Amino acid sequence: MAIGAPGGRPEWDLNALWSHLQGVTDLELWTIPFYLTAMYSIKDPSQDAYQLIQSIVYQEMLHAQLACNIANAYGYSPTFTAPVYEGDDIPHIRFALDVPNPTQTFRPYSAELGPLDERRINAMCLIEYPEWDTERTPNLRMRREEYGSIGEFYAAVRAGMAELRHHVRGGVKQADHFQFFYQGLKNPTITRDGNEGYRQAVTLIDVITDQGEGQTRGDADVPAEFQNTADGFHESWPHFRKFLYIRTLGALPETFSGEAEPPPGSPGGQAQQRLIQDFGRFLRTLDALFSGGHPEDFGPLMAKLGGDILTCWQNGAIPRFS
Amino acid sequence: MSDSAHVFRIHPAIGIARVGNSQEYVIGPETMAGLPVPGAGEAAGETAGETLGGLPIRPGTESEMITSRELRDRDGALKRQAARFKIFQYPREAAGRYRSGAGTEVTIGSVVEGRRVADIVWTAHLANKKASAYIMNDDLGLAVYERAHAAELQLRNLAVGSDPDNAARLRKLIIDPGPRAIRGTDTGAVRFDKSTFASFGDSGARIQEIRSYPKSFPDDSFSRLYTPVGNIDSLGELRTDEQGRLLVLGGYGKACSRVLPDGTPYPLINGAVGPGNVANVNEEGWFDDAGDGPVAATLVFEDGGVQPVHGAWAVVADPSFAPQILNVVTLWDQIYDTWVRELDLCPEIHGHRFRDAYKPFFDDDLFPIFRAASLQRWTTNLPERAIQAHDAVGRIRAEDDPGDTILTGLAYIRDPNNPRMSSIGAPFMPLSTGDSGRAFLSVTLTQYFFLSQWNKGRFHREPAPRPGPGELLDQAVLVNCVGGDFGPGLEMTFIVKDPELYRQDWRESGAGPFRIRAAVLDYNQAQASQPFLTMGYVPFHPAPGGVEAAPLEPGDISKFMAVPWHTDFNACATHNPDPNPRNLKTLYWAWPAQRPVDVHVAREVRDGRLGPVRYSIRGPGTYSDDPSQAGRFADQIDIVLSWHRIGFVIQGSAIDGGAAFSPELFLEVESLLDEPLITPWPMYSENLDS
Repeated sequence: MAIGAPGGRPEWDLNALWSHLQGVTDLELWTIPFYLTAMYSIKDPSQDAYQLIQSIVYQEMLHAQLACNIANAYGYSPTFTAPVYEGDDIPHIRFALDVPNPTQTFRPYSAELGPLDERRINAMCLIEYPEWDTERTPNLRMRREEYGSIGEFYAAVRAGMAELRHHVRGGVKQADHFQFFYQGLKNPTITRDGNEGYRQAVTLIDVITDQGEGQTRGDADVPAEFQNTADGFHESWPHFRKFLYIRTLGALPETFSGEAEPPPGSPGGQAQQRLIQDFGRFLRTLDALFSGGHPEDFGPLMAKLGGDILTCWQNGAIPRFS
Repeated sequence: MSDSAHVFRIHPAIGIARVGNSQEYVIGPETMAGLPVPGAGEAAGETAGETLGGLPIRPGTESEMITSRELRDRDGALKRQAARFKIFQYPREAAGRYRSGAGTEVTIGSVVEGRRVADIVWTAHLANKKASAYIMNDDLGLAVYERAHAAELQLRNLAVGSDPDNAARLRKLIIDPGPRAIRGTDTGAVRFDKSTFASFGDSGARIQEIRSYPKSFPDDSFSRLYTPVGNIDSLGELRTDEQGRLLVLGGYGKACSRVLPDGTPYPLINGAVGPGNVANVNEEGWFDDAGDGPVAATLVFEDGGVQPVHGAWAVVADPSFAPQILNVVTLWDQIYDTWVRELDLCPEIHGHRFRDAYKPFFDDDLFPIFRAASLQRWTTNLPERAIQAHDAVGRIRAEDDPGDTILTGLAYIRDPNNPRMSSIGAPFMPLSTGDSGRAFLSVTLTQYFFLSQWNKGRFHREPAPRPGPGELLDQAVLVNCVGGDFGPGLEMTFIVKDPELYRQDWRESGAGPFRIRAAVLDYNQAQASQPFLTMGYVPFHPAPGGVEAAPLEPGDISKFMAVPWHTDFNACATHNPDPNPRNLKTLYWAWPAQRPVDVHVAREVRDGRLGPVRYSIRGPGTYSDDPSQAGRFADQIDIVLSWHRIGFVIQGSAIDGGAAFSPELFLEVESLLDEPLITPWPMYSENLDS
């Protein structure tokens, strides 16, 4: 296999890798409001569905950090822009490219923000749908922006990283905000240059994919060293299994309902506006956080977002982030 | 009680004294931990450089708070903390209202309805029934006393007898010095000890000695005892101040053990030894010198007349090593919740259910919760991101729109209406271990109602009408105590949720709320051959011939606490959730606002920057690589020996010494658990032969 092997002529240049790392960052970010919106629609937080989605969101935050650490090691600081939730569009994923097309099973689905319902849980299963076709080598010559699954997307990134491993520089704008929640994960940052740094980066990709995004074997447990040790729930379950479990519950938990366009000035409309404002501030904080900064308001802002989303639901509005 | 146009009450209704190993004492705080001191000119939430409430009071003063150098005596011993009791008169028409705003203190020299008070005769009776009581069941808590759990109700010290009412057993296991009376004009101490006679003030305010009172101390019944810090020969003492107020002081923090047939003491065991039986809460064979009991008073007028006063209760408890760190759920919150929901205290808040139209007051009902959250960082090892979030909670002000705050939606508040939530940890708050049978602590139902109303924007931004000074004292004293984890807690435990604990005729009688339902004790019936005290109050167990539980005797509150208190205090630094069906290894704090776990040491602050986080209990005997065993003594005997060496976490503005600390910092001072610092050369020999 030539692709990804050291010494071969790279199919990707740094711009291609950066573009893909920006893409995975976008995708990780996209999932967070989508999942949180569904989670906070559940009226009883003690429900398994709530706890499972919460545990996934925590790991999506970790994944965003790890993706940024990889990108920074390759010389690029990703930016954070407000995701778009329209129709059935999930960034960089086109299920029709996958074989078999999982939307034949997980339908109907929607990429629009909403309560935890059939369309949302199907979308979640699709997003985390494993790359069952094991050991398939990505073809980097195809300059793709969309992949059949999140697993395929990460496989391409992994191959591109291998090609460009000599560009890795350790200790560049590395963030480590969740270390105490993953006692088995020895180093969530890239500290070395070149090949050694590349191997560290590959471990970070492993964390992301083994926890849930793109496992090539959807029935495998999350390796013990990548499991959450503090605030998880069913820590050995990858994301797809967690969502599949929710999907197969006899009945989804009771949720709030809301309207997408509440009257301006109504409590729901005001709650939406607060969320939009706070999410904008949060994005700017993420920009700073993952480009070497140390914004002091990251913790409060992250917490405030949860309250904002719940407040939207409590006031009869579907949360909006932009 | 009389034909007076006034009613007379002792406040606080429940007073808290704390043990210390010094002969000296301070007066227990009468301001609320972490909250602005009334009259200090500070609005809720603005520290403005002021020292916040919760610090003990300097003896001989009305309300001057102590500073760090007054926590210990000149020999380094920990000063005891006295519970100060005062008498207030209320117009009879105000007596049936709560938060009447009324109440005027009566002291020696006061004129009451034209008569001058010449003296006050006080009687108090402390006892310790811990060893004779039932095992504190860590799985069931209060529920173990329900009929359905009769089989699980087990006595402590079964080897001394299995009949809870057996006189010989009670005599051996109850520490009962009998009552003591003191006059407001007395200048010395009256001790609850072995060597002085019991005494009480009779209805005519005459002090009667009871020479035949069947006093009992451990060495009266057990010829051999293990007394590592000395024999328990006193449960404390009474004093009065220049105004005739009563000071109740507790014991010296001693603990002792019976000995086994081989002459060795009963071992102090850690962990579970049976279903619901955690050994460090129910140490077989051990006694301590905490206690509790009723406080009575009679006013004596210059014309010879007397005026009885509605009584109070004194509880002697563990020290509080972080007196200004406010608990998120205080003992006041628990007692108030019981009174609001079960005893019709505030019909405007709760009838058959909480009233949706009621608006809580930000300063009184909400801000304390927010402030408490922000203070937890000083006695725990919260990570930086969580500290930022907690600080944001502490910054919430009355004028803020709740939607603009970090607590909008109450997204992170554990809902006590949903019992399943007690099993859910982070991010739900409080992040502390819960009462017996509950993994995590929840705010009370009343607190949650107030928070819910605030979240809806239904609250008063302006200050609440001021309570009367006696009413405020009732609250302030209890605010400074732990309101959970009641497994069992530090001052009082789950029994505060039992409505039968309290005197319920408070409106008709004029006694006022929050009064313990005290047994009538006829000391004239005391016989030297029989124990005076009985098994007493047992929740949900009707007294003989009655339908409700027996009224409370001395010792009937502290008997539900750990024996000795030291061992549970030591062990309850952090715990895994319990119950823990998922076998989570994450550790959570038990009572960090009183039993600090992690601290910043004052002398390690450099240029205003905090030093490292250290365990409060540290030094030899505490080292462990396992965080679940660190920050505490590995051998429980060490806490019996060294509890008084633990440092205090207090506000920077109350710390003496050369360095000036910011009032925003709460730092550990006066710890005697550190190993000596090695100072730079030159060092000196003690003699020339070295």
